[in-house]
Amino acid sequence: MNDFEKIKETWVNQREDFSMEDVFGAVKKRIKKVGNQQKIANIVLVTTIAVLVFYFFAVSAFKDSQMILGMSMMICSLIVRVAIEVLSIRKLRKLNALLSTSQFKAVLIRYYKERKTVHLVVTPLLFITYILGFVILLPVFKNNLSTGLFWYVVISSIIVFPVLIVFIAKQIQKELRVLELLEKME
Amino acid sequence: MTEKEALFKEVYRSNYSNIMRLCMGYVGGNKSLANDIVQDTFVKVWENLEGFKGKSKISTWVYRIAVNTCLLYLRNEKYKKVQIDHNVLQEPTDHSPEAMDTSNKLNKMYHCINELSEQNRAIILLELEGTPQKEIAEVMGQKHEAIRTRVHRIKKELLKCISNE
Repeated sequence: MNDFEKIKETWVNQREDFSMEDVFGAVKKRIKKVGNQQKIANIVLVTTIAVLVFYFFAVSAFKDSQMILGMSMMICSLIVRVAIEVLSIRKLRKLNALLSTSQFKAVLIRYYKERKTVHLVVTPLLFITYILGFVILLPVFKNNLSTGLFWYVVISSIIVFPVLIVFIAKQIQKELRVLELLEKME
Repeated sequence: MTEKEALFKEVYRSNYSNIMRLCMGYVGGNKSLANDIVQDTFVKVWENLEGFKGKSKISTWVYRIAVNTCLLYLRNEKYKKVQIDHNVLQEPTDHSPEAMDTSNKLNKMYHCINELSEQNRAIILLELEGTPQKEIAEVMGQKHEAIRTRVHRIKKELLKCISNE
């Protein structure tokens, strides 16, 4: 028996710490969970659209052109972003795992390149649209809200926007790292 | 139990151990992460089982799904930590010299496999499972000859690393 055969024997005879039955139960649960996750993602998308459209009419935004513009910009950028995310998660789940590894790697690289475009082009554009919409709405807020509430909205936004930027940047960094790893593979 | 469920259970039973070892090796011995990948692999097996045409061995088909699922886990935070910590882990069952020696060898193997590139890691793990090189080539999407040369090179690299550890 040569050296490699010896380590091969050690490898295949290693002790297993996982019970086959436990993992089988977990697999069955996960099969159900995957179906539920897809339903939840669809519900999130539809609910977001419904809530935002309802809010648009609830505040009678259609009566004031400045409000229509500001709210439409904010609502549309949110809807587009949530839709992109839902579709993207669905696409990742549907990637064909039956391909050979080199083909699968190519598909994964294409997926992460698309994500890179979303992160570096689409998301900043949507974010700017959202902030512009908010800025357009500021005079409307000033006229309709009490001074205290108006400043609360302004200050909380000044805090929330940078936090969002940091959160998005971390997500981008994580996915770019994966893309880099995939591209480095022989 | 439906026909599909019965077939799935059979595929699971006959491939579980190999896939678990493959995933453990791929993620540097991180059991929790390996367990997640194994579960995801079998979820995909379930989802695609009806499409299995029998053109290759079922084990080759499952290996292909497993290696691709490992690639999907590159984005996982736990995977990132494994790369940094070299979190390796075979505790001996008892403290007999033989058990200690086996545990020591396995730890060296996990460490050395973790030093390889992702692709080389998948190739050598398939080789360690006794998968014929023709099937490894099929899983990896490379030519048989290229895999033969590559396996030879990785074996040398692995043995050198283990003996130097």
